[in-house]
Amino acid sequence: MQKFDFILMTIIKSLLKNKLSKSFILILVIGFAFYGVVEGPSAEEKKEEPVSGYFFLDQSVRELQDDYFLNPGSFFVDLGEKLWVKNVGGSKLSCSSCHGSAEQSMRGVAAKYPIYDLKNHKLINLEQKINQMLVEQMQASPLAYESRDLLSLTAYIARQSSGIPLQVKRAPEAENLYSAGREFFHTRRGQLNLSCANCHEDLVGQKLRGDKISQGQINGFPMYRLMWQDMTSRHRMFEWCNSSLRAEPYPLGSPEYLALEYFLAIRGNGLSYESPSVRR
Amino acid sequence: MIISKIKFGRFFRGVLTPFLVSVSCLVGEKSKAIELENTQPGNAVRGEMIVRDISKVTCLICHEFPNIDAPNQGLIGPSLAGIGDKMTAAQLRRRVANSQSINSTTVMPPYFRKDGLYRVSQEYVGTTIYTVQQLEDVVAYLSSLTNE
Repeated sequence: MQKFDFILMTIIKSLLKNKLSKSFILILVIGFAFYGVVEGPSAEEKKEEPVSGYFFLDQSVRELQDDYFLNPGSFFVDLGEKLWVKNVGGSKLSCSSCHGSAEQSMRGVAAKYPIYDLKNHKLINLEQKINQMLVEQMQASPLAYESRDLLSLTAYIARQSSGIPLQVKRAPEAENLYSAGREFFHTRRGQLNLSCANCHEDLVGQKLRGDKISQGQINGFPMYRLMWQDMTSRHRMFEWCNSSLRAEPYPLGSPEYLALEYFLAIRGNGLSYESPSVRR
Repeated sequence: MIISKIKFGRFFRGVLTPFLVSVSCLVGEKSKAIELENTQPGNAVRGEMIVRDISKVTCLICHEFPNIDAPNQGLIGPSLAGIGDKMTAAQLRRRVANSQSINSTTVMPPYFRKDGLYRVSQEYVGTTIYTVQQLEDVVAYLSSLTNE
C-alpha cells in the first residue's frame, strides 16, 4: 500500500511540474464533469426513445414502402383522393366542398389524432372523425371499420401527414383515459397470459420466430400488412394482437381500443408519420 | 333460468333444474377423471410433433431445438439443447405447465393453466393449451434431449 502511494505521488508530482500538463489535467476533469450532461439521455431514457417499426423491417420491405409506385398501400391513397371529391349523401357535398384541397387543409391533421373531444367528453380517432363529418355534415351513412372506402379516406388524409412528427395532445381532461390505455398496455391477458409490454417493451429487437419485435408504435397507420395483403387500421391491429394471445378482443372503435390508441400515439409523439406504410 | 319460465315452473325450478345441474357437474367431473385415467406415459415422438405444432403455440416461436429441422427458431427463451440432462421430468413439467409459478415476470405462456387468466377468448376459455396427455408427451420429449 505504501509503495502504491509513493508511485502515485511521484506521478502526480511530475505531472504538476509544468503548466502544460496541469491545464491538460484540468481539461480532462472538466470534460468528465460535463460528460453526464452533454453525452445525452441515460441508458434508461434511451430505452424509452420511440423508434418506428420501419427500422425493424428487412431491407426489401423498406424498399416497398419507400417507393410510392411499388407500395401496395398507394392504391388506397389514390382511391381516397377520388373519394375526397365525390359528392355523397343527402347534402350532395364532398369533403372538398368544405375542406378544399386536402394537401392544404389536411396537412398534419392525422398526426394529431386521436383527439379528446371536450364538448362530448370522449376520445375521437380519425376514422370516427370522418364518419362524424359524413353523418353530421353531409347526411350520409357512416362507413364501416375496415371497409375499403374508410381505409382509403383514412389513408389519403394520413398521406397528408407523411413526414410530419406525431403530435397528439395529452389533454389534462383525458388523463384517466391515458392511464387506462397505459394500463391496457401493461395488463397480461389471454390464454397465453401476456401483455403488450412483455414483447413491445421488454423484448424489442429480439426474434420471435423470424420476426424482429418492434416497439409496437402506431405512426404508420393505416398500414399495408403483407401477411394479410390488405390495409389495416390501428384497431384491427390491436384486435389481431389480442386474438394472437388467445384473448378476447374489443370491438373496433370501442372505448378500450380508443384509450389504448391514445396512449400509444402519445408514446410515439415525435415519430415521423409514415403513410402509406408497409409492414410484414 | 329459461326452464323456470315453462308452465310447469314450480316442478322444474324446485326439482328438475337442481337435478340436471348436479348431474352435469358429475358428468364434468367424470369426464375429467376419465381423461386422467386414460393418460398414457409420455411419448417423446408425439411430444416432438406437439412442440412443432403451430396450432398448439409451437415452442419454436421462442426456443431453439438442436434436433429439429425448422427455419427461424426463436431466440427469446434459452436453447433447449441438453435440457433433459439439466432438469428432471418434474422440473420440466412445472415449467411447461406454468412457468409463471416460478418466475412471475416470465414471458413464457402457461401451457396447462386455466385459473387466474384475464379475458381468455371464447374459443379457448375453460381449456388449457395442452391436454394432460400432450403435457406428458412434451415432457417426455424434452427429457429425451440429452447430450448423449
